[in-house]
Parts: sequence; C-alpha cells; structure tokens
Amino acid sequence: MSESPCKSSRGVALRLALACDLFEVRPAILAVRGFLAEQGLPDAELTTCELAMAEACNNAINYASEEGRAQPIEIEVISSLTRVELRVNDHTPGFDWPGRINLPGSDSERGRGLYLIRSLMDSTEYFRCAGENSLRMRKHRSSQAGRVPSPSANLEELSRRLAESEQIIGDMAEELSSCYESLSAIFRYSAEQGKAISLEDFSRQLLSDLLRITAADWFVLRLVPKDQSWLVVFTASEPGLDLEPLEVPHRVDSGLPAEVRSAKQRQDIWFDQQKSLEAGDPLRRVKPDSLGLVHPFYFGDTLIGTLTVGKTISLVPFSAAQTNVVHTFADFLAIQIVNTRFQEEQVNNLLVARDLQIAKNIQRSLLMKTLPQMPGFGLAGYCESARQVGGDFYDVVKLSDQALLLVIADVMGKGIPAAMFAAILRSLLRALPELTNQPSELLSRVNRLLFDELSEVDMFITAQLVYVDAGKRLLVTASAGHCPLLLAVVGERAVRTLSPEGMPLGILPDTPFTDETAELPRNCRVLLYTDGLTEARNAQGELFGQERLMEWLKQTTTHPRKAEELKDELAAELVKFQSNTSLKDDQTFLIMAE
Amino acid sequence: MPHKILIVDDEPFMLRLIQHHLEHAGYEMIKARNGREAVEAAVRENPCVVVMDAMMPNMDGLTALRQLKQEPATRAIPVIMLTANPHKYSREEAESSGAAIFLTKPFSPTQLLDEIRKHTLDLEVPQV
Repeated sequence: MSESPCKSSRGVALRLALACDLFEVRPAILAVRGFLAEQGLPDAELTTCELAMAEACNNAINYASEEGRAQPIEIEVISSLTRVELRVNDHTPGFDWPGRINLPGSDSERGRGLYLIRSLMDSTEYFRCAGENSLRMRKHRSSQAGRVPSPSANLEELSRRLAESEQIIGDMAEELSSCYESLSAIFRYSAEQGKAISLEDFSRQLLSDLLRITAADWFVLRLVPKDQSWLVVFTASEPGLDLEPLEVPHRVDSGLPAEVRSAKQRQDIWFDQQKSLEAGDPLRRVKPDSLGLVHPFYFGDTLIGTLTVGKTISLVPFSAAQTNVVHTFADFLAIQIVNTRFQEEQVNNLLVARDLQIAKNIQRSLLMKTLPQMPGFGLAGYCESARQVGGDFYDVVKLSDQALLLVIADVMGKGIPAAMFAAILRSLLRALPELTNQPSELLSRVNRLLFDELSEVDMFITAQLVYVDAGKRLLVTASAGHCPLLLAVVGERAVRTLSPEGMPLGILPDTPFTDETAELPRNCRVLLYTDGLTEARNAQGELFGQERLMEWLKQTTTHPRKAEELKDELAAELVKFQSNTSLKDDQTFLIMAE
Repeated sequence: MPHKILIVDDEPFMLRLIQHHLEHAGYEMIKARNGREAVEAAVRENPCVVVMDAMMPNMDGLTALRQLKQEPATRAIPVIMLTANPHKYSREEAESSGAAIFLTKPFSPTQLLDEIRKHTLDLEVPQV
C-alpha cells in the first residue's frame, strides 16, 4: 500500500493505492480513518466513512476482472471544511448504477454494499469508463459535533450550502467559459490557417482577439529566429512596441529584461505598479504604468518566443480564467509557428532540390554527349560530381579536321557556385577562337577576364588547355596550376608527364603562362584529369595517387584500345578502389587515343 | 431595469455558461429549454434579444425562429442562432429565416456578448 497526503485545491487530500487483495483493505481503511480523525471528523462520521469505504473497496476487489486484479485500487479522500469526499477507482468491468437502490431481499447475496453506501452517504456518483471506474461518495460535515439541530440552524445550514454550491458553480462557469473561449478561437483560427494569410497577420489577428477577450490593451510577440539566440519582435499591437531585439544569454543575471528572464526561467513573469519591471526594461520605457504578464512558450526544449500582454486603461489584474486563455492562445500560436516554419523549410528544401536538378541538367548539357572526332583519334570523357552539381568540366573544341583544343578544369569548391564558374569559363574559352592554338595566351586572357569575379568571392580555377595538331603531329599545352598531362604510347610501356608552369586562374591579375610543345607520337594516349582522381581515397584512407594512375595508363599500352574502352576501364578502376566510400571531390578525366 | 435576454438551449451547462456572462454584463436572463417554451416566453416576456440553439427537442430552433418572425409581437426581436452542427443548419437558412447572426459552437462568449450589446445599444444601458 502506498500513501501520499497532499494539499488539494479544494481541501486536504489523502491518496492511497492498494493491491487488489481483501487483506489490503483493512490497513487502508485504518489509514483513511486516521487521516479523517486528524481532520477533526467526529466519531460517528468517522465510522460512517469507514463503513462506506470498506464496502466500496470490497466490491472493487470482489468484482475485479482477471486483468483488473493486476492493477491497484486507488483511494482518494478529500476533506474540506464542509464535506468529505471518498473516491475509489477500480478496474472491474463496472456496472450500471441503479437510479434507485432498495434493500435487497434476504435471499440475495448482492446489492447490500450499494444500499449501505447510498444510505450512509449524502450523495454518490459512479463514473464508468473502459477498464476503470470511479465511485465518488460525499458526506457533509456537521459544523459542530454534538450540536442539536434546530429548524433555524437547518435553514442556516441549507443557505450556507446553497451559497457554497452557487460559488462552486460560478467558479466552474468561469473556468468553462475560458475553455470555451479558447476552444472557439482554436476552431476559428484553425479554419483561418487554410486561407493564405501570413503568419504575421495570423498572429496579429489571434492576439487582437486575445486582447478583446481578456480586456487587455496591448501585446508584444517576440520570436527567436531559427539558429539564433535573440528574442525579436514579430508583431505587436502598436508601432511603438516594435522594440529592439533582446539577446538571450546563457546565464540569468539580475537586471535582465522580464521577457528574457521569463524565457530563461521558463515561467510567467507578472508585473504591476507594485511589482514593477526593472528600470532598464524596454517594456517599462514604453509602457510605464502597466500591469501584465510575460509568458514564454517552448516547443519541447526549444524556445519559440515570449508573449507579453498588458493593461494600461483598466488596472484590474488578469483573472485565473483570463490567464488560462493567454496560456492557451500562446501555446496554440507556438504550434502554428512551429508548423509554419516546418512547412516553409520543406518548401524551401523542395525548391533547392528543384534548382539543383535544373543546374545538374544544365551542367550535363555542357558536357557533350558525343565529343567531336578527329580522323584517327578517339575521345572519351568522364565527369562524376561529388554533389549534384560540381566545378569540374572538360571540353573539346574542334578547330579543323586536323586540330582540336582539349580543355579540363577544376573550379575550387563544389556545388552551384563552382558550377557557375565552370559554365562561365567554358563559354569564355569558346568565345576566343583566335587564341586556341596558343593555350598560354588563351589562359592569360581568360585570367584577366575572370580575375575580378573570382577574387571577389575568393575562388580560383585550375585548368589545362591542350592544342592538338594531328597534321603537324604536335601538341601544345599550357597549365593554370593544373595536374600534369599524361602521355603514353602503345607498346612503349612508359608514361610521360607534361607540366608547364602557371598559377591557377584568379590568383594574380597578370601572371605568365607558358606553352610546352611536344611531338605527338604515333599510337599515343593523352590523359587529362583533375585532382579528384589522384586524391580519391579507399576505405583504408589510402590515396589513389598519380603513380597508380600512371601505372594504370602504362599497363593499357600493351595493345591498341579505343578511348571509350579506356574510359570505362579507368572509371571501373576508380569505383573498385573507392569501394563503398562516398565521393569527396568531383572526378573528371578526358582521354584521347590514336 | 436591466435588459432581458431570452436564452434557449436544452443543454443546462450552456445555459449556465451564458448566464455567467450575461449576469456579469448586467443583463437579466430568461431561460427556455426548447423551441416551444422559447416562443411562449418571448410572447410573455418581450425580451430585447433571443439567443437560441438550432438543435433542440420539442420544436427545434429554426422552427421556433420562423414562428417568432411570423408572430407580430415578437417579429422585431433580434435572434442570435447557435449551432454545433453548421453542416446540418446552414447560415443561409437561418439568416433567410430572420436570424440576426449565426454563431457556430464552440462560439466565443465574448463575441456573443458583443453581438448582444450591438442589438441592445440603442436601448437603455443595463444597470450593472
């Protein structure tokens, strides 16, 4: 049996829980008797309550269902100045409480308990619910034990009881009224949510209604913007209340504005002329002679904001019911705010995803599906972005039947900004056809054109341009800080690197680039790549590295292969090396094979 | 003399809830539990405003409303209709039958009081 005496709002209460066992009843009844004796109940009334309680407990145990036996029986005894209420909550299947209870016949074994309870107590109520029932028995206390009742005393007692009942009904009506008011607003504003009004308008309308309902004059709604620790005025009842943002510090110090203290302490703060706001409080500055309350509202452990409601015209304090309405409105608003933010975030995510898809499609369209061909040579390119869009790209510009410009570039960074610069660079390179056979000059020009934009956003681009002249059997390459070009010849089992000097684009406005010219050997293979290849890591953290890349290229030179085959082979090699690790950087290469 | 308001509802708690607000606002309240009682009380007591639930046993609110609007003695009394089921009792139906306004339960008690005040504004101010 567990026992907990406590102060109830309607008197002093004792709560007990006992196992569903007849042996538990007697100690529980003695505890109830002891408690009521302490409350000054005379002996006769003690015995009455004891008997009624014993009957109720015995019934609860005798008629408990198999499932109900595992659950405790709860007893609650509430003692006020005027009456005692005994409550027994059981887990029997329950029964229909008879409207009228007669003494059962002598041959009947059931019904005596109910008859006894009804006879002993002044009023009884029985609430039957699924799996749990509550029997409530009330006994009015005689105001003076042993007093001989007189007709006038009876009348006096009845008037007193009537007044008490009226008071209780009045209080209940007040409470019901506040609930009804809140419920009505919730229904009305839930319907409003369907209409396309902004959260600000919605809040202003709801809180204007709150002012009307609670006879208040002004409000300030502050919200904490996402990922910030400031309380910022979201809406207020008048322009003068559009106060400066308040920082919510980690510690609570004295002298903080009431809105911040309320938010930190997670409790309402009341203010009036006696208990005024601190001297530096912004609310005191604009509403010096007000009374009101600050209510913080949270969603789980996240502070959503504070609502301050105040009065300046009538200085009648908020009633309990009005305070309830303020709380309900604020909590309802908090849910709307959280929902709206969540919806906005979802819409935003969808928009970003859509934009990314568009950007990806644009970037894919920049990487030509079929590369221009030159008689005797095959070309194949590969580009895999770490994100949906990336900053790597390759391009092949056909200059004549015998000449091509190969381009590979890597814009520092990933995502949309990198992709945008990649697109710009590609267009610029194609817009300067007169320089395509002088890669270093082309890089210089592009660097000058892009320098301002790149340096403004602190970005740079590495790039390599290769002018291939199949007629003259030569290639000219220039590099802007890019990885070396790899050159191999079938049957030679050797790989050569071409790495002319040059700074990445966007580092210095006037920087020299140099051309490196090499003979284009017969049956050659030219590989241009970005550092995403050589810096790829496997599950053990090892780098793919330039050596491994050169080794791969070397072992392909044993016999002639098409560029497309080589591309597939290298792509497979990369996938195999990285196994299940996610791509950290864009990976791009361009192969030319004779 | 405080203004008399006739409240018609078969739900005792609703009568008590409205009574609470009317008394605080200084009105006198007459109660009726159904449409039939409402028509009788309206003729007998000549209230300033009638607040009536649409759904009641023994003559529903809309029927009682139509009767009040047909009866010369009660025709001019503004009637505020209440309903918990706006799908069954439409605003148009109530208003075309002569209702001054149609409030859906749960209504705002403050709004109801505002509506009553609106219709008693031209009359003498009630004594609080």
